[in-house]
Amino acid sequence: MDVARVRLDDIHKTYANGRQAANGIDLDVADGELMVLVGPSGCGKSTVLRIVAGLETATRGTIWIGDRDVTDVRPQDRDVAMVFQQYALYPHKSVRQNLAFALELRRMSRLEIDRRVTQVSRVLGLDDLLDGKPAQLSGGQRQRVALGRAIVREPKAFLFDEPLSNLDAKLRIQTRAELTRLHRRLGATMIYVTHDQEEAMTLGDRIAVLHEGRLQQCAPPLEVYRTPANAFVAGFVGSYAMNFLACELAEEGNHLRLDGRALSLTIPLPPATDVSSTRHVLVGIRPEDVEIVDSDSADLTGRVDVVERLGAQLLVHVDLREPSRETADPSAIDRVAPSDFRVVAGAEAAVRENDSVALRFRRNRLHLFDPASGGRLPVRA
Amino acid sequence: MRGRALTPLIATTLMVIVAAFPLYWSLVSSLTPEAQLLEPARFVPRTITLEHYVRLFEERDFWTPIRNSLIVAGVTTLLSVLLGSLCAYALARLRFRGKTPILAFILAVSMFPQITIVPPMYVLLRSLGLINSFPGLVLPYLTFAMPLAIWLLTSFFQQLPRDLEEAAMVDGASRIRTLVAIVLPLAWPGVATAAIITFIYCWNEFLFALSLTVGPDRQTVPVAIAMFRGQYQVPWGEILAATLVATAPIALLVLAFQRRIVRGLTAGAVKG
Amino acid sequence: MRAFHVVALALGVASVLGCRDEGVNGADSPVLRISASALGKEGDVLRAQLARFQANHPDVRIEQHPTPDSADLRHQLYVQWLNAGAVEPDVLQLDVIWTPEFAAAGWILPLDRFSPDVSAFFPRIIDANQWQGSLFALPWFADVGMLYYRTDLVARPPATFDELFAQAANAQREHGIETGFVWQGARYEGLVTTYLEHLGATGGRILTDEGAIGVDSDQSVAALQLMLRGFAEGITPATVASYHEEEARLVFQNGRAVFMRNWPYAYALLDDPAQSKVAGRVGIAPMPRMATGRPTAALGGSQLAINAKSRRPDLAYALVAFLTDERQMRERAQVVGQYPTRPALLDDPQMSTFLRAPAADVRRVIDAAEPRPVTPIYTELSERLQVELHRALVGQKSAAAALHDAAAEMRIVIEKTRVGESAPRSESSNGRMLPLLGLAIASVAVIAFVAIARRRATRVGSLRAKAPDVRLAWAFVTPALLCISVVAVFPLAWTVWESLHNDDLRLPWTGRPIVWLANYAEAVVDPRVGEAVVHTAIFTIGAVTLEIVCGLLCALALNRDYRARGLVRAVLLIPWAIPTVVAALVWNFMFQPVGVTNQVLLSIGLIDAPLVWFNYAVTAWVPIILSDVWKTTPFVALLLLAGLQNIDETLLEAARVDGASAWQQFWRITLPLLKPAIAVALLFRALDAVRVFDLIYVLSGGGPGTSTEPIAFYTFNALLQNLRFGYGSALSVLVFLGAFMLAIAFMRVMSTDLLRGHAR
Repeated sequence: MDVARVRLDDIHKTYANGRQAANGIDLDVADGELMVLVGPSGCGKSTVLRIVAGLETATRGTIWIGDRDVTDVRPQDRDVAMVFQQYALYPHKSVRQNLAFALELRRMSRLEIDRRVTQVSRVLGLDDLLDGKPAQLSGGQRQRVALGRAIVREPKAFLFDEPLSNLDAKLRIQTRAELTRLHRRLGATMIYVTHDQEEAMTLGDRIAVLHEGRLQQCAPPLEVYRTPANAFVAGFVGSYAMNFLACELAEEGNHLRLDGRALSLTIPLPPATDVSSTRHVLVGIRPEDVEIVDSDSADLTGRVDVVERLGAQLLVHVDLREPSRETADPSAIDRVAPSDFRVVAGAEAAVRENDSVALRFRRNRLHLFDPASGGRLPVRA
Repeated sequence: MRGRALTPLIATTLMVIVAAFPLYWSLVSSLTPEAQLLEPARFVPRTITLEHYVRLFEERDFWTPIRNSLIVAGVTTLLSVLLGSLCAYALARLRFRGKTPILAFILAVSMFPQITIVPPMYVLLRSLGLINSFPGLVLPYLTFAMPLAIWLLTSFFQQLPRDLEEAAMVDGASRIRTLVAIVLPLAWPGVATAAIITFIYCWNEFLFALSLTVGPDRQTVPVAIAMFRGQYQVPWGEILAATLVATAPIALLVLAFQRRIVRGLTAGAVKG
Repeated sequence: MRAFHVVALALGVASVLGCRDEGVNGADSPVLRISASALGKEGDVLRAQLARFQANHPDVRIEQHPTPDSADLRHQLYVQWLNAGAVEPDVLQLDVIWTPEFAAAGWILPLDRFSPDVSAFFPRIIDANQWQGSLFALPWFADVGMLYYRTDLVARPPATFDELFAQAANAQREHGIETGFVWQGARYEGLVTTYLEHLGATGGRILTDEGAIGVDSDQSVAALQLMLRGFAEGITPATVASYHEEEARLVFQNGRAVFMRNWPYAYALLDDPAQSKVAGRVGIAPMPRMATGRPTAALGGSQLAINAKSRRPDLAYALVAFLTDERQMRERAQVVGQYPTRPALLDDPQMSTFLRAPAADVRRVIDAAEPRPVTPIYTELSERLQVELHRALVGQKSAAAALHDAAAEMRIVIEKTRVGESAPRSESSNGRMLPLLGLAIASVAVIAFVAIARRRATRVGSLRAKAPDVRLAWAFVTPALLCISVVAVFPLAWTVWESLHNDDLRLPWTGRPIVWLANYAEAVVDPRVGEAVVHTAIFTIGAVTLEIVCGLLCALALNRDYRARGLVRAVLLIPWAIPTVVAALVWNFMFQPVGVTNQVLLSIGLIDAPLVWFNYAVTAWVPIILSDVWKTTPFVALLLLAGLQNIDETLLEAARVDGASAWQQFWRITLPLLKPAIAVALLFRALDAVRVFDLIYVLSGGGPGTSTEPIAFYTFNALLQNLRFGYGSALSVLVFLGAFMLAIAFMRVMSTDLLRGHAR
């Protein structure tokens, strides 16, 4: 398949009513890569996708598909295929005609059209459905037809607009795996939009996290997971939301101490780290990186509020507030301990509601962020 | 609960009776012999006669007005729907500035009191020699038929799923190709509905037909009926027979297409 | 589907092209057309005589040009056609009062060049057909108002009105006859003819010999008071104020009246035992008089005239002469019973049998018959007079006040029209320029619009890749816009321009001077305009309120699923779908004095005598508003139903769970959420209601008097009845502005985002 790389250069999109959907987005999707655009609703990911397709025009910036500047090219001529959220199958055409439509537009020979349609139909298991109409198909079948319609075109790039959101949970997971297999088979350049971070993590070669029209981080999933570029990404990615603690940094020889009302621990810093200017930090730690320990080796203690039993694991909600403790230091910042600090524990852990519990952080899994900008501060494990 | 369900049932029955009674009464009266017409009548007639209908078609030649109405309403509807569809599609789907002024313009035109159009139309048609002709009626009819058709069709086009057209464009279909291959096959129920509603309005039009035709050779059905009044006598039997004949095709249209008509009428009016 | 479309298009195009030749200008075929009454026996004798004429002229086809038989309608159509320059019909049957009007406008040919033998006709009738010294029509048959009386109730016909009242009261008392004296009192020309006879009885005049208005003289007022006296004394029933000829005839025919004033046509019907209860007991005599006057019969009847644009004037005259010759006229008297206009024929011994009245009497009556004023503006004068006379009859004004007002209005009319100043002008100078001008205006408007909009578009600059889209969009939009501009923008522009001129098409000698805002000034002080606005408001508020309320109830009742829903909706839709004219006729029929409404009300006991609905301003509104409500409630119900169905069921369920009663749910949740739908329905209906025309035209004709005349109707009158295009155009513009401002004010108040919703 003749695939290509897709490059977005400083894309801005402002709507007539003033809304800014994209604000200086640079993206470089490599040849054959599956790039996932992920973010909460309204972050601009669908807009970016539609700009690549040509269904929207960027207010500023350029789009390249392959080595062609397609910024002013209409969608018909960009040679990309799109799978829509609601599938957008032509209801009055049969499945076969749906698959063949784009090829007929290109005046392809009947022979070639039939060959491609048969091939794709076989791969996707649509052989029995070819003569029916979309209305007669189930959701999953329709999705496959939508997929087939795109595949049959052998385009330069595939664009997916939240194709799995209309499926139920089990089918979604199943189809996810199929999509991964498909990508492997085709080796095509794919840009995939979703609001589900789990989908992003499992599918993407790289994921691009967007927030309020801006690109937050673009990196392979594991990197985004392990080293999120800012507090937003840290909080967005990951099955269980990251815990954040507002803390204070103190100098102590070569180490730093985090002094929060509820927390007091020492972490090693890489040499030549400039910490003089940073007094207040945001500490992030994932629930799965917190252990329940005996009180002597604990970093902090709290009271168990709710225990969610998830089968193989427990999600323990701990209330870290200590209303009776007064702060002696008058220059202490207003550190408010979280009331819902989450910890993942094994199913056999002996915790019950209202228990007092001691927690310890995995040292090499701490994240430090600037409370003002949200940006990541480097820490050496 | 049962009492609750009864009230709407009674109400509905009442509504149907109120709606149907005048027409029922006309039917009964049109079948009543002339002499008994102005006498205190009964709800079910004693004697039935077809004399009025016979006289309607033989002595009065009611076929010509029917033909005239069909031609005028038909041609007007055709033109309105054809040109109106293009315009409505552009308004509903294509992106360009000036939509609001255009819609405002169309709305304003549909608000023209018809009487305002009559004299200039009269003078214009007279200078063109088109008084009492088919084009001479189609032209003024477009003043209300075109805005009506555009209004109905715009709402309808807007309700079509947008992503079908986007899919077609990404697939490589030009705008026009998309319109023909994807939109039209899906839109034809809406277009048909707009055509039906427009046809009904044209068929019922009175003022223009009254003012701009000269003889029964071009008069439409409503005008022909209104002209039945005699020098001293009002031939109620024939008038009512004519009204029923005029109503019948409309009633049939409505019965056949009521769901479409309802959807068409309400689509434009209520934005949820 | 596609083939069907092609065929339909072809048919449409073919018919459009095919009919280009027909219509006004006509193809060059050897046909002579005559427009004349053809109902019943008149039709029979006319056909026979035309066949006879045809036999003598085999190379030309003689055809009847069908026209309504009602005089008012025929007049309106003649005015429309002749003003439009129609070449057909060649021969026209004119009511006696139309001749001066048509002659002055140059629409009919002077007959002097054919040298007709005028001495053979009644001089009075010939006089009535002359204008500025030339004869314009030949008298065909005469109609004179006569007094019918019951020979079994009255010994001899009364010579004075006092005698008549005495005899009537007597007969009513002794024989239990319902009414004493019936005549034509509806607001139409018949009322004026009746008044004319009372005028003759008291010595009053409509126009004096010098041409001045005489309706406010003492004698004239006395004449009207004479008519009113019948009401006061119980001789004349109040319902007379809605009677035309037929209503009076039926009352007399059913034996419910002692005396009747009517035209001669009634005699044959009254004497027919198959339908008349008083057959064999009917006598006919001249109308009585008062001490100051003499017995008077209003002179009616028909004449035959020739269309000035006829292509065969000589042949047309031959036909006219033929139909008015002795033999045909005699036959007409024999078959139809219409009075001949040749005095010699009345010496024929058989004539008394034909006419069922002593021929000598008839001759005397015709000799002395009183024509109506011979002036081209008679119709307008008569209209003013009719309105005021009728007001007096229904008790809205006293006789003196009514006639005083009538005289004032009539004087204004005479002043305005400056009758007889110069020769009629030639064909309108607008000619070919008009359509080109229209096209030019429309094109300029559209092009300017497109250019401005496109410039604004490209200035925004965000449409690089979409530029072809924009071009396509304008390509799609322009044909429709152009079409609309031509048929809407141009007429509006023309109307505004015309409203600045004084243009009366019946009085071509007055020209078309520009008078700037004079028409508007006149409209503002015209009392009928103010009244019309009030009537329009009454109608709008009454009808629309009812429609919204009923529509809401209907929508609520329809808002559930059941099997017959489709059928129910279809039945409910039918009233909306039928022509307004049809609905109006049906409701007119139901509200006739003998109609079903009265029957039902009588049987329940709500009224004790049949109500004449169209007689009184208040009751006349009832069928008008009811028929509009009947017709359009389904539409409103549909709009509201759609709105109802858009309301989330769960909101109401939540309220119900919270403890809200059905009423509270409706009032606090449903109704507020329904506001946009109600607003839309209100707007559409209100806009339609202020423009109401069809309904009123057919139902009440604006009556009684002008009490139900809405503004669109008055405008129509001014334009197409009185042909005052300048004034009518000003009224049109005012109506348009009214509707426009209503819509804007409405949208502001309701803040409905109709347009924005559409332009998304």
